[in-house]
Amino acid sequence: MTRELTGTSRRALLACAWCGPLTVVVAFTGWLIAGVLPVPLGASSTAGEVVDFYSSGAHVPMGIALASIGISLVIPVIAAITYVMWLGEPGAPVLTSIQAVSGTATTVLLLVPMLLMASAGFRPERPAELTVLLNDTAWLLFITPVGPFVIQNVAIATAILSTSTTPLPRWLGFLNLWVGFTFTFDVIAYAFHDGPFAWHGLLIFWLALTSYAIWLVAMGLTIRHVIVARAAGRDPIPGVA
Amino acid sequence: MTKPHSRPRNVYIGLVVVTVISLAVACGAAHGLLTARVAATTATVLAFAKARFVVLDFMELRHAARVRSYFDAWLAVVCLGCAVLLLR
Amino acid sequence: MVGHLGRHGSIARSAEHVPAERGMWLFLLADMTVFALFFGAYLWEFGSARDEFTADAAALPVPVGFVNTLVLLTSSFLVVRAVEAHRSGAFDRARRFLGGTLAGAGTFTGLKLVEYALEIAAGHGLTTSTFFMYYFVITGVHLMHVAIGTTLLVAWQRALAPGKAPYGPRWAEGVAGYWHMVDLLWLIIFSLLYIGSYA
Repeated sequence: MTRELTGTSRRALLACAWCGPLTVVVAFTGWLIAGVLPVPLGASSTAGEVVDFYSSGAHVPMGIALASIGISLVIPVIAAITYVMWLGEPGAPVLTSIQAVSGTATTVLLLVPMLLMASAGFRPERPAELTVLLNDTAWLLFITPVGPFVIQNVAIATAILSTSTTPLPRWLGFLNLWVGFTFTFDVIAYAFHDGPFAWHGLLIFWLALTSYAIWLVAMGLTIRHVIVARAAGRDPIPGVA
Repeated sequence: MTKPHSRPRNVYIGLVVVTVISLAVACGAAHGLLTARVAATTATVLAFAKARFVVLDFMELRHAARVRSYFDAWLAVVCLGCAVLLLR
Repeated sequence: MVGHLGRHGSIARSAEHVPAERGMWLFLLADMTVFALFFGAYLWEFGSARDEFTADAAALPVPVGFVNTLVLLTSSFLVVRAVEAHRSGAFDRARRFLGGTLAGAGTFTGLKLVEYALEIAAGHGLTTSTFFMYYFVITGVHLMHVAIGTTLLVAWQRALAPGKAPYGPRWAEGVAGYWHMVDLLWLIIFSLLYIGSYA
């Protein structure tokens, strides 16, 4: 391969890889401070409940702002995935490009709803229906734009499963297919206010939260493994399971 | 050992027969011969039994010891869970 | 792992023959587990509103679901034959079997859409009742798997055409495994939604 890693770029790439698990830690901390976790507002919450949540104190917008910083750490992860995919993609880096663009769009679509939620907590004494509107918009924008992320998953999976030159292990390709699948049906959250398919439901919010966290940790740690193994002059591919 | 092609064919025929029996079980309940709970549970257990033949003979995991054990465990746990929820 | 090719279509019956690859089967199990969560949620709510669910389920066209079950079973069996033919290098035969499978996939999809049209015309929709919410979501996500499987089968069949380079047997086994999962899930869905609630 051309363009091998120098000392500084290798350390930067390792930092990018660690941003995967770090995203989960910082974002979860922010949501716990804000009270978004452990039990978030739901599609069935009344206007009173929504206003009460946002007017309960400055910890709400500040916790959500912290979560938005956590989510921003996805950006370095996308960059690291892009580099490692580019290393392994023979010929023109088409799948790598698809991954980079769709991953970037995903990050923006996660970041904007956090800022909308923080804005809802900024002036909660406004008319209740406006806070409800901001809250609905934030949550639906957070949960339902799954297309870019699924495209990213499929691009990563295709690159891993269809080429033998990629330094990423095959199980990671299958993991991407599964994570992508767990997101595909999130669009149905628009239809429900209650039950497992509402935005706060078990099979929408909780399943997506779990699989996205698994994805961030798995991508980050695997890329770290690849970088460390390459620096040590070892072949990072342990072979097909 | 039988002819190489005959086992999947026999399994296929068996699966069709069991599908018809499942429907008959449901009709049995409709005619009051079985309680609804027993009929639904019987049909479900039959469905998981059929699924196991799909795993062993269509997916050809009969001789893949470890992968087969994962599928067997999945089928057992999910079938048991469904049966409990149906009978409760 | 090796040595199962060129044995006139039969598989080497060694103790550890894994078709396709282990990661693929773990992926299928993870995929099926999401469906298991769907089934659990459905049965949980079914248990607390049996009469309501049974009344709604009576509106399902059970014969259509029954025919679709036979269609998918047949298509799955044809995939088994296609894998056998593929392994023994009989690519033309494999292509014909896959043609049959794809006809089954098309029939299943067509009947499913007719079924949806009948139900929607009768006033049932995604949000009209808890039963129909589960019915449309579960069969809809399953139909998405039918579509993905069909795409993979078409790719497999096209690569078997004369003058093309066919995929390796492990790739074929992987696509076959995916299609069998589509069949397996439908067997359970048919039993839970159509027969189980109808009874």
